[in-house]
Amino acid sequence: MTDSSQQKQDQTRRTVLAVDNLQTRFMSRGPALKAVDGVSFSIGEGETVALVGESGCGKSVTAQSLLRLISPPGQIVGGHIYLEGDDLMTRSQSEIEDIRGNRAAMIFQEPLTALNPIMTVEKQLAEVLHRHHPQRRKEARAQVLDMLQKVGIPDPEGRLRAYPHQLSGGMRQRVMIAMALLSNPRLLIADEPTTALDVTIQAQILELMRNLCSQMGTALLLITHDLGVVAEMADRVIVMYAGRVVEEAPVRTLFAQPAHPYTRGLIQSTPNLATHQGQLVAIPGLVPTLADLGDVQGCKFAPRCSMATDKCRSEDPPLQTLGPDRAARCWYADEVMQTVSAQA
Amino acid sequence: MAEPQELVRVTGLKKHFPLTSGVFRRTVGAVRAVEDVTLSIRKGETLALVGESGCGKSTTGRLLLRLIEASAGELMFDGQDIRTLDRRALRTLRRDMQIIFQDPFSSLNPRMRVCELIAEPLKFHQLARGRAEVEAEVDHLMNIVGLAPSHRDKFPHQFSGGQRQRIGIARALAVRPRFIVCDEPISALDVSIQAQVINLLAQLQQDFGLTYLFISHDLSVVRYVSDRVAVMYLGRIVELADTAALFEEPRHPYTAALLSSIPVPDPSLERKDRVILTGDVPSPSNPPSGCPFHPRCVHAQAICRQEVPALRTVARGSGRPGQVACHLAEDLDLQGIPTTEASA
Repeated sequence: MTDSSQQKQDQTRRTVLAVDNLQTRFMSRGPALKAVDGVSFSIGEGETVALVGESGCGKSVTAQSLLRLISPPGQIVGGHIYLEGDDLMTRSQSEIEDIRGNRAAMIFQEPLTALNPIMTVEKQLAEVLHRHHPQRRKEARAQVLDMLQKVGIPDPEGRLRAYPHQLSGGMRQRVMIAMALLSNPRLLIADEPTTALDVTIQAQILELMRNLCSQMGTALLLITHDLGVVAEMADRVIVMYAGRVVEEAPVRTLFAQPAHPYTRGLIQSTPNLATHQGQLVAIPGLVPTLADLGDVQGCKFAPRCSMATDKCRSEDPPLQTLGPDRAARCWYADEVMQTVSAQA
Repeated sequence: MAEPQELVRVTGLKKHFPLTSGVFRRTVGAVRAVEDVTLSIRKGETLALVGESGCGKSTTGRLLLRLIEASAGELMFDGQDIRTLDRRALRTLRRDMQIIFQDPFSSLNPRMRVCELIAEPLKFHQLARGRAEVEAEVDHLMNIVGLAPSHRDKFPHQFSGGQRQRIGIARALAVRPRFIVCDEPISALDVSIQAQVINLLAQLQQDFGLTYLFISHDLSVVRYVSDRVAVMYLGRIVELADTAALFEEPRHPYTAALLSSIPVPDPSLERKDRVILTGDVPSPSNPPSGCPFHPRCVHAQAICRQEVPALRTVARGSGRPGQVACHLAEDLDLQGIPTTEASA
C-alpha cells in the first residue's frame, strides 16, 4: 500500500476503498496492453476523488476493474482492491455480485444504454432492491418512490410506469443515480456521469450528486476528463497518463501548484471562463494509444514534454511522495512546482 | 472609425422541418428548428453561436451555406442575395464558404488517402491543374495545418481525432475560402488536442483573413476564440453582444444561467448565488407561448407568457452595446463572470 493511503487510515476519515498496485491488461496479438499499470489510491468516507485523464489513459478501465467488470480479452493480472477492508480480488463471482449495486455501485456516461429499454423505471429499481434486500412489493415501491423524490424527479408516481426512452437525458441520469443509491452504497463510482448532458443539466446533476453523497457519507470516485467538473466536485485528484498515476494531490494544491508537466499542460490547455483571453498553451504531440507505448523507454510522457531530458527518455521515474497526500511521477517534480509558483 | 464591413447578413431566417405521420406522410406539425434569426457577421471576425442541444445552432450554420434550404428569410453574402442563386452560381459561391464538421471520424471518406482527400476540392473547383501542381498544393496545405508530409498516403483511420480534424481543415482551406462555418470543431477531441486545434484556427484566421461562424455548446472555449457571441434558445437568438460584455454583464436570464452552470477549472473560485436552472429544454415541435425561456426562468412575469420578446438593443452598465430578447432586460440585475487576471 502506498504511503498516502496509510496516512489516510490514521486520520479520522475511515477508508472505504483502497486500491493497491492494480494491473489490468488486454491480451492482443502482440504483447499484452497494459491498460492499468500499477495504480494505487484510496478514498475515505464522504470523500470525492476525481480520476482525470484523456481518452485511453486507463481511467475507465480502472473504474471497471474495481467492481471486477472486466471481461476477456481484458484481465486483472495483479493487485488488491480493498472495500472497507475486504479484498475483492479474493472473492468469488457470486460474492462480487452481492457487492455490486449494494455496497458499491456505478453510474455510467450514457444512461440510455445502461438502463434496460424494455423495463419500466419501477421494475428496474425494484429489481435492484429485491436482489439485495428481498421484501414485499409495497415496501419496495415506497422505497423506490422515496429515492426518486430524493433525486429530484418531478411527479415520481407518474414516472414509475415510464420506460427509459420516455425520459430526457437528465431524467435518465437521475434514475441511474436513484438506482445506484437505493441500497445506500459505501462507494459510488461515476464514470463521466455528465459528459452526455447539456451544461445546464450537468449543473443540476453535479449538485444532486454532491448533496446526496455528503448526506449519505458515500465515497465518490468521479471519473472525468473535464477539469472544470474536477475543480467543483473533488476533494482530491488523481491524474492518469498511459495507464499510470502521474500525479495525486488535494484539489486546490493540484490547480495552484501542479507537480507533473502533464497536469500543468492539462490545466494550461483548458479554457477558463474566469481568466482573461489569450492563447491556450497546447500540449504538443498526440494522445498516445496503448500500442504505441510498448516501445517508449523511460517516462511515458517524455515524447510530449517540453522539459524532457536524456534521463527522462532513458529512465522511468517512480511515483514519488512529495508531501502528505501528494505524489508525482516526474524526475523534476520540484522544478515543475517552482516554475508554476514563479509564474503566478 | 469606419463601420466594419459585413460579410454575411441574415434576416428573419426560419427553418421548419415537417413532422409527418401515417402511410400518406400527412404533415401533422413542424419542428421549429430555427425561428426568426437575424444577425450579421463582419469581415475578419469570429462570431460564436452558442446554445444547448436542439437550440438550432447547427441548423443555422447549414442554412447560411445553403446546405439545407431555409423556410423563410433573407441570406446575403458579400452583398449578394444567395437564396436566389441557381446551381452554377451556388457552386462558385461555395468556394467562398466552407464548413468544418464536429466529427472528424464520419466526415472523411474512409477509402480515400489523405492526399486524395485534400486534392478533391482542388480538382472539383479546378484550382490546380496537372498532377505536379495539385501535389505541390496538397503539400502546401498539409504544411499549413501541421500534418507531416510523410502522412500523404495514409487513410483516415490511421489518424487520431486531432489529426483528422486537421485534414478537415486542410480540405476547407483548399479552395481559399473567405468564410468558414466551424460546427463544434473541437468537441470530439481530447483537452490537450483541443487547444492545438483552437490555436491553429486562430493562426489561419490571421494569416488568411478568414471570417468564422464558430458553433459551440462550450462557453469556455467561446470566451477564447470569438469577438462576438450570439446565444440561441429554441431557435431564436436571445442575446448577442461583444464577447467580454456578454460574459461580464449578461442581460438575458438564460445567458446568466448558462454562465453560472459552467464548471470553472479553479477550485479557489467562490461562486456565489449560482443559478441552477430547473427542468429541461422544451421540445422545438411544441414551443411554449410567449418567451421560449419563460417556463425555466425565475424572473418570468405575465407578459413573458404572452408576448414573444423582440431582439432589441439594450445598454449595459459599462455602455457596451448588445442586443437582448427579454421583456425585463432593463430591470434585472444579472450576474456575469468577472474577468480576473490570468494566473499560472
